[in-house]
Amino acid sequence: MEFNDLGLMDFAEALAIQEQLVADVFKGSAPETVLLLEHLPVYTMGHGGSEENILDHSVKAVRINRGGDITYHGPGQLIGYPIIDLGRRGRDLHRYLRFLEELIIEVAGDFQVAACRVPGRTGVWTDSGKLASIGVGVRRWTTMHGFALNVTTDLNGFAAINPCGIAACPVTSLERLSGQSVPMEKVKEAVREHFVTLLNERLPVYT
Amino acid sequence: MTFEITMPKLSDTMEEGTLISWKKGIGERVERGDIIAEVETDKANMELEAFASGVLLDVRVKPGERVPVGTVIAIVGEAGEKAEVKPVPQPELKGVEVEEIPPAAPEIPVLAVEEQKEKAEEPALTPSAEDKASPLVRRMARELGIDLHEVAGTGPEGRILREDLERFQMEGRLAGKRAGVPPLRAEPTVPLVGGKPQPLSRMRAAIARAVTASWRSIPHFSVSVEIDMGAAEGLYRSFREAGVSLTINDMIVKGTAMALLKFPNLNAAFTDDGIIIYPEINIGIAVSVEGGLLVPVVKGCRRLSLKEIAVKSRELIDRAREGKITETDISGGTFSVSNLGMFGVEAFSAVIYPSQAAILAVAAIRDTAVARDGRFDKARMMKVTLSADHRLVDGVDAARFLSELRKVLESPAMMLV
Repeated sequence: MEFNDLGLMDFAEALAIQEQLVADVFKGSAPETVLLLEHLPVYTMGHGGSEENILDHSVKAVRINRGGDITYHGPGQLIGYPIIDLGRRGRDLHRYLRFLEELIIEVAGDFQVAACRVPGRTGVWTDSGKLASIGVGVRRWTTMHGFALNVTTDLNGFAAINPCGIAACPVTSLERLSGQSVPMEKVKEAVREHFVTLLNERLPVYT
Repeated sequence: MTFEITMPKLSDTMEEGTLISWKKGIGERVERGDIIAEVETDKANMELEAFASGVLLDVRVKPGERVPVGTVIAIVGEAGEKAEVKPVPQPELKGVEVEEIPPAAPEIPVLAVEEQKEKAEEPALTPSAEDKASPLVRRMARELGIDLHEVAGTGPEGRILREDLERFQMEGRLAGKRAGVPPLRAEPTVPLVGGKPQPLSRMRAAIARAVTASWRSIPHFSVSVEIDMGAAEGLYRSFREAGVSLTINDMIVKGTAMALLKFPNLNAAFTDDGIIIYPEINIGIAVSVEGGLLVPVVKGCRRLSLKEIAVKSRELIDRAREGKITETDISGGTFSVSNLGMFGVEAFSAVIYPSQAAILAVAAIRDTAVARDGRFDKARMMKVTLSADHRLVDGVDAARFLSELRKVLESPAMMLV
């Protein structure tokens, strides 16, 4: 497993990197990789998303091959794009989504933030709103896209939309919940720390 | 020939999926591997690949529509064909098209081969009953041995839902009567000694279907011979020393292909319309994998050298073990080999793969005392057992085939020319 920190990157550029990695991981010419980054402000939407969830009509959303409706990405939000070969890890998309949720719940726990799942509403939630969005795409059982965890995100970005298609969905961040400054580097470190163990526990490689 | 594309099951817990978008339009050419649609379950989207080449004849589900797993969402076939769901005529392997036969549903590789057959065997439902149940429900009904005509549907327009089947089954149980004999979930005639039934994995269900179909329809008989593998092991060692990666099983596959060339009546299928002798020799190799068994097929053995068979077979076995096997890898077999030698077994017999004539069960090579020229000697002996379809061949044919196989394996240099 490799972790690749891309820093702050434009959505299109990161997408091109993902596309290449998906092809390489599927072929077996690259190891499974987790891309960690922040995006410049952008709205993205799954191909199944509804335009009705864009409240501000000046907002243009990029349509992509992931599940879920519209969401906002911007600086201060940790994006994780795991490129994982589910072909050898049991081929179960729901289990993969539950793994991503569990990962973020553990990471949030490291910052004394209690987060949870809401059945039927994929993502990670707290009593003050949604902390992280999840949307995954799979090509030949190799994953792309992933999670967006609000660390110090400017939450005004979500005002223009119904986040994940949920009207007036409250959105929150790690920093807001923990009441102290949360450095992005520490959050990335926590992801790196939990990812492999949890992945192999939840989605073991079948040999 | 048309092929149904169904809503794939992307998780054990997935019951329905949403068709997000079509990437191909009706009438458009589809090549194997092309992304034809995007489907969603929960917050995950899957790009649905075509596992067969042809023309997209019909799409049955609109973007945004949510349908149960197993629902036919599109039909792929040849241009000009009618997009009707029709049972695939049996056998599906015919003449020189053996290698070109595109596989069916992209849902899960292991199942597809059996599913085509199954449809051919399925008693034709009246259109009304067929229309009233999704493919998933029809399949469940078949597995449970339930006649759909007897089930009252509670879904929209009287459609038969899963719940209806389950209720019907429960009611049948309570009333102490059953509809027909369930082909797979036969209940034991003695009481169960505790324990809860575990649901079948898809692979287990596929295997169960294939062997049940085979055992019910093919009159098996078996013939065994012992083969002295001393020379073959010698050749194996010298290849290894020369850095050529090769297994004893590769030699058995090559030897089998050579024997089949002489006895093509064992490279055949028995059908209602007569006997089909396959023009190509495609040998399936039984590979045990987590939770079951896959039979990847080494195709074109007629023209392959021993080394080429070794390379192909290695690739297929690796793919099977890594879970990367494709529908094409496991279809089109004309004969099978099952080898349990690595487990030290003395002898066993195997169940014939449907639409084939025979299967060779290979046991371990063992140090054995043999009498030679009036003296005891030791030799490296291996028992092989051929299970064959008695409708196609008789004991004499099996014996001749085995004798040819023994000749080749005992003089393995024949394999190199």
